[in-house]
Amino acid sequence: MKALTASDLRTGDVVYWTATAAWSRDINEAALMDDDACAEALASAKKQETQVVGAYLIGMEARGVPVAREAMRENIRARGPTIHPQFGKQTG
Amino acid sequence: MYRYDEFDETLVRERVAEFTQQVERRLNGEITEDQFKPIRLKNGLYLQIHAYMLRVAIPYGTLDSDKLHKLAHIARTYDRDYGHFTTRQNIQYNWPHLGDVPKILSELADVEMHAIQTSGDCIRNVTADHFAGAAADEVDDPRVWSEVIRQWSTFHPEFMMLPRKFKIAVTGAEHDRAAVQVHDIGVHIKKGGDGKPAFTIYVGGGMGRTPFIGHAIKTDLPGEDLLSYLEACLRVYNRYGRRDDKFKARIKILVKQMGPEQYKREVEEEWAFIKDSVLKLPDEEVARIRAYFAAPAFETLPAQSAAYEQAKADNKAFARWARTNVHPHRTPGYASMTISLKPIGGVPGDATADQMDFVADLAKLYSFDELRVTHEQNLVFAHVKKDDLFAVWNELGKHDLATPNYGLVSDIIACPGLDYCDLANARAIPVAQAISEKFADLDAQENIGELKIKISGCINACGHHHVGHVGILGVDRHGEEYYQILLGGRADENARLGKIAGKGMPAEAIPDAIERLVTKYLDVRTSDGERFIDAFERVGSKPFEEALYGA
Repeated sequence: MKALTASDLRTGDVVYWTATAAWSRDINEAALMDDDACAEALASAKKQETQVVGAYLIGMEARGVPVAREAMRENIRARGPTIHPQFGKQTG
Repeated sequence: MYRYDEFDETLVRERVAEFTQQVERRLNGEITEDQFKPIRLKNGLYLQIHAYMLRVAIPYGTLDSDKLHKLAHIARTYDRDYGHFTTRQNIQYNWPHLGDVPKILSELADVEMHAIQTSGDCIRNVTADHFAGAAADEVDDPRVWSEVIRQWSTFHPEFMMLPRKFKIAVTGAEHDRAAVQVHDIGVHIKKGGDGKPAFTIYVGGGMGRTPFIGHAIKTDLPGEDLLSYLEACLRVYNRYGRRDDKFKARIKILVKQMGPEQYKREVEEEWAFIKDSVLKLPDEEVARIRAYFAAPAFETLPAQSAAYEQAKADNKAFARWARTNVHPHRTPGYASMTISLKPIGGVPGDATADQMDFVADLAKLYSFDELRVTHEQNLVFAHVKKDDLFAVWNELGKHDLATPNYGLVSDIIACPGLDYCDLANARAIPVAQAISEKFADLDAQENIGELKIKISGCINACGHHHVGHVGILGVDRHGEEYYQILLGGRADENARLGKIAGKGMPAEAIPDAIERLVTKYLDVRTSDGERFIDAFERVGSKPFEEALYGA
């Protein structure tokens, strides 16, 4: 299963494509998709140039859990800098 | 301090106006990201892991209080209350919003600052010795020549689309504090036979994936020929540098493939055409620029300060800071001093908006309204009266800026790493923090003496790991962070690349590994005065490798 992620054009925030075809800042809201759904979501993201930048797919173990190979980077993306927890997504 | 002339002022204002429109057009969808990305990069704006990152140029690291107050204001108003000083003597903001960047650039222009040429395949901000104009061992002021290079390289039409980025560093003292031999071009000013400055030009140094020490292809170059010679160096690179492979596009690869002798022949041939052109620098022009950097109005003082000596005798903590963070000045009664941005367990190079405002006020009071950013990610007051050092230290301590660790084991260079950087494979800052905490004991640090640890989170080597006495390189091994240790590098006039000591280890093993290296060093050194790097060079790598990995 995969999830689609990108950066918000205005803020640079990490965002995820949800099951309701919208962008969320919460990795737990990321839709888990098969290859066909991924291709569709990626094509859709490419048309949203005024909303998001640099969309790409990440492998997911389960809801909110990136696969081990990508976990280090993707968990930092999802949560914020480990050295400044006050600036991450933890703050809402 | 450098000064904008009417050309600089106009260029920067025009660029801000242009970028303001470009951002508007990007936000309303008139231009695509593919079209916009090279434009934003030309204005120092990256998109990193969590947010945009704006890199602001600080010409050869020099600031006055107005500029630093402005940097603080930007951190407070548009960012998250802090900025990060880098190994390029620049400042980076980690959280600006795209729509705010034109306003930030406009505010910077108000204090003669900008983000132009802080990214892209052009000549970047020139860096220089942070003790310029103060150091007792200085032959000539590197800021003068750095400013000459700044003016020449800003919007140089021929060099805006080089094969790859291009970094120039200048030092004006025999002891190189600007790491010139690991730059694309390093300029080392020496004293010529006629008493005038004579330039040694190193070409093809660099770190990253394929590190090299630069080759001295020219010595005794007169100042009047500096720009024509640099132009010839750049032309040959621009003509032959590879554009088909990003990883082979830096000048170091060209010089390696061509051979330094052949590269030099090409440069000399090109130089013959332009040596006597408009690029020849008249003495009057150098004198005009030199006046920007005239020494401040020093008082006539005795070399010794009774107040300073008494304060050291009365206060052990101050005496310790004076031993580590105060540096000799060529003017009697004055000293240079380092403001450490490496508090124990802190983030190397970070400063809060309040700290920046405070340091700016302090510079105005005590250092002729002038300060520098160092490539080792600290700040420097170049000219402080010894009589005032105790007062300055007292004030710094109130803002967590008086850590007495200049050049010591906790004065670590670290790149932003995977906590921020889109290119990184591993984190660098937490490793620096863990080492710093391991060696928190100030007595122990001082006993160990000079030990330069430099950490990068990927092979691009922004953390200069190749030239750390101990270098640490983060790598991604199947999704886990591992760190390789390099030994024996140095970035000074005897520059050398460190060598990988053995297999990588996880982050949590690094502080103990550094401790084993330090223990070995303390064991083998012949006296307190024999630094880590001296002992390493005397006994070789093997005992240290055994300390790391066992015999």
